[in-house]
Amino acid sequence: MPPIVALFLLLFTPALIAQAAKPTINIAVLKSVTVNAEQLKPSFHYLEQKYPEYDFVFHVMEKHPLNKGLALGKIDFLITSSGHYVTLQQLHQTQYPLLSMYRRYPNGYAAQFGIVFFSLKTNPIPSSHLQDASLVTLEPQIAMDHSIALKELHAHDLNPHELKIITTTDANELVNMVLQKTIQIGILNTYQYAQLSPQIQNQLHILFRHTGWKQPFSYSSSLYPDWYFAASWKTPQRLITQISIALLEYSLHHQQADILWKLPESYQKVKNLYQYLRLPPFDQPLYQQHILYTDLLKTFWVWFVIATLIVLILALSISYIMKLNRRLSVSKKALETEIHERKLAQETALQHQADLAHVARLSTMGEMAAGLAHELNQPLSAIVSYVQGCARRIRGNHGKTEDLLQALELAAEQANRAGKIIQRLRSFVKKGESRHTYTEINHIVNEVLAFLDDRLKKQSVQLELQLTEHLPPIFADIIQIEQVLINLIKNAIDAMQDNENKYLFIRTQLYEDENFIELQVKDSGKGMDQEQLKTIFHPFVTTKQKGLGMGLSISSSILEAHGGRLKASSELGKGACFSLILPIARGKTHHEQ
Amino acid sequence: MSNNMTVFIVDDDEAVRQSTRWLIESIGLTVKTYESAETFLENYQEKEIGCLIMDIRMPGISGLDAQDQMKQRNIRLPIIFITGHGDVPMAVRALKSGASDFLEKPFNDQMLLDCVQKALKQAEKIQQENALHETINKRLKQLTPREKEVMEGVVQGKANKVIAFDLGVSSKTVEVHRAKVMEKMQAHSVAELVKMAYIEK
Repeated sequence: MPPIVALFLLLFTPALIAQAAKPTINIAVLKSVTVNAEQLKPSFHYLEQKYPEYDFVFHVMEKHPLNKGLALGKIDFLITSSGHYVTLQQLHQTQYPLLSMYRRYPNGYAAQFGIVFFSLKTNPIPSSHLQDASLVTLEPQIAMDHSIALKELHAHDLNPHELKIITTTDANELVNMVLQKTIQIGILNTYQYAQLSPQIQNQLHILFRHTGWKQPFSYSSSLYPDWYFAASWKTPQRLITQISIALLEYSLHHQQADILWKLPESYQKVKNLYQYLRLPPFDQPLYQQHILYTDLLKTFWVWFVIATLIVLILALSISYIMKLNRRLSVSKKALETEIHERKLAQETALQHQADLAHVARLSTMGEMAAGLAHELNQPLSAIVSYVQGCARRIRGNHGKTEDLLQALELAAEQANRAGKIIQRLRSFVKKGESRHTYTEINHIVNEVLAFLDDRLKKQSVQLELQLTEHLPPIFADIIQIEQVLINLIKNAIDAMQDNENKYLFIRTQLYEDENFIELQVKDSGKGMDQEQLKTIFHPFVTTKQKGLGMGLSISSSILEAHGGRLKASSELGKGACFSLILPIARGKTHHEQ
Repeated sequence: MSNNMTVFIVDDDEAVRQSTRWLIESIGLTVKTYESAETFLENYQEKEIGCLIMDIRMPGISGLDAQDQMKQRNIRLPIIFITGHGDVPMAVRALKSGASDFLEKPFNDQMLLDCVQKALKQAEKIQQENALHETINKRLKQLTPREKEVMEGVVQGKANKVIAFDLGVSSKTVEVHRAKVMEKMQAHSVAELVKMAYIEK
């Protein structure tokens, strides 16, 4: 094989390098004993003359390099036997045959061929003894002839495996074997047989002679298309047309040439033959390709080595990167877990803080009221004292006007001081950083009830809950809403202080048009009359002995800040009912939490 | 009511201090103000009589603590406690400890002035008591030891003979001492002597 490769490279490379400017057209011819390059030269010469713009390069090649060249797309056209063509065609290496070779026999042209079984006239073989006859054929490398012979033997009920068939490489030697009676039957193709001299032919007898079709030669088999002129799989259509037409033109103008060209014979017959004999590529369709790969490997081993090395390096680096990646992802995971845990811890801490703040705030509410009472008492008592002191002096008519004025001014100052304290209270309630979250009203109710549980029990308040389940969420500052609810419940408890039956009813439900949620707090306390109802949301209005009168005012503003409102209804002696109306959270999703 | 009475005001809130002073001065009383119980206790002189108006909750020494300290130092000023918190247990404790009154801020002016008057009356009474004590003490100091012994016997209701036997002297001697005691103590009867001895116990 290596010499063939070397030959191939030798033939090929200069053609590729030389005259890069002119497009090169490579035409490959299968090396064969039946077609020699000399016979083709006139055709090629015609092509070169017809198309000087192309640089035609002709290669006579063995089967395998030719196959390889085709596979690599380095061959544009090929001239080869129909058997070889069928193989290539089956491997999709070629397009349809363009032309059939029109070969000159002594008695005329033919585009088909067959084989001839012949024996010596002086050494006849009775047809009953055919199976005992010895045969000689040329090397089976001319596979087509051999195949045709096999098929023909089959057709005559002879099993080739039971026959004594020997091979030789030379047609003359083969004929001599028959002439010298060493072998009884010789096998040649019609062309080879036609080349034999008439003297020899006269000594020979043709077996199974066909007479059906008039041909310029004698034959003893079916006929098959001769060589083809074909284009490779990659040859452009325009070029195919140009070259085919040129060769047909040539055939028109050179009627006496050894080889002419005509429109192609069908290769179906060859295909059938190969299929019949289960020959490649119809037995092992990939056999040829397999050979191709090994050939390719041999030619381009350097590239293969380089490619393999690159692949290896790539694989190594990929595995290294993957390893790194894995380590990275492991540490990333660890980091993520840590971040997550930290976040959780932070959230827990924040939650805890918020809870503490919550509790603190709630307990401050009570303390604040007391503290505030004390704080407010200072300026208030000061005012009383100043004013009454003035009044007494004026009544007793012994106060100096300056002193009186000064005292009154001081009283006014104390009134301002009281006002500031109230402002501080307001900002305390408002200032707390508003933290709106999605929550369910029932959740708030349960939280607050847990917080006030003790107080409710101490006061032996009977509690009835009617919490509607699966209410849509609200978007609210939980602490603030809880403050409002605590305030309302405390109010309710206070209102029922003197009752025998203390009865607290809390209900949650959708409110009227279903865009709001309603939380009702109803008590069985002393209730209020319509006059009182009108003013309860005003600041500093209270019915309690020790109340500040701020609770409902603040609660109301908290609800208004949430886009809701606080409603009250009551009848004197029949208890009061307060409703927190809060809008349902819409448009925003839970994810925004 | 003597005019040498002083109303002491102890409150950490200046406005309350000054306004209360303004109110109390309107009925012509002398007022002294202190911003804390400490400064009051430091500056109070035993001769000063009157009453004390004190806030119960103050930074530093609270009103109740100051009350305790005054007791220890035998300062017998009637105390009117004022507070912003209507703190019942505190009020009970203060009154049990001898506070004169307990007022909740903001107080009615008349109520405060009434309380002050009442406290000043108490103060007067205390002053009178103090004066009586002083007189009796002065008289007792004039007695000789033997006379004191005899007086003890007399107050216990012992007969002269029993006293004489106890002291190992003659009943005549006891009679002389007894007459001396009655004279020094300016007692017109045994009952009066017993009363004086009781007061001084």
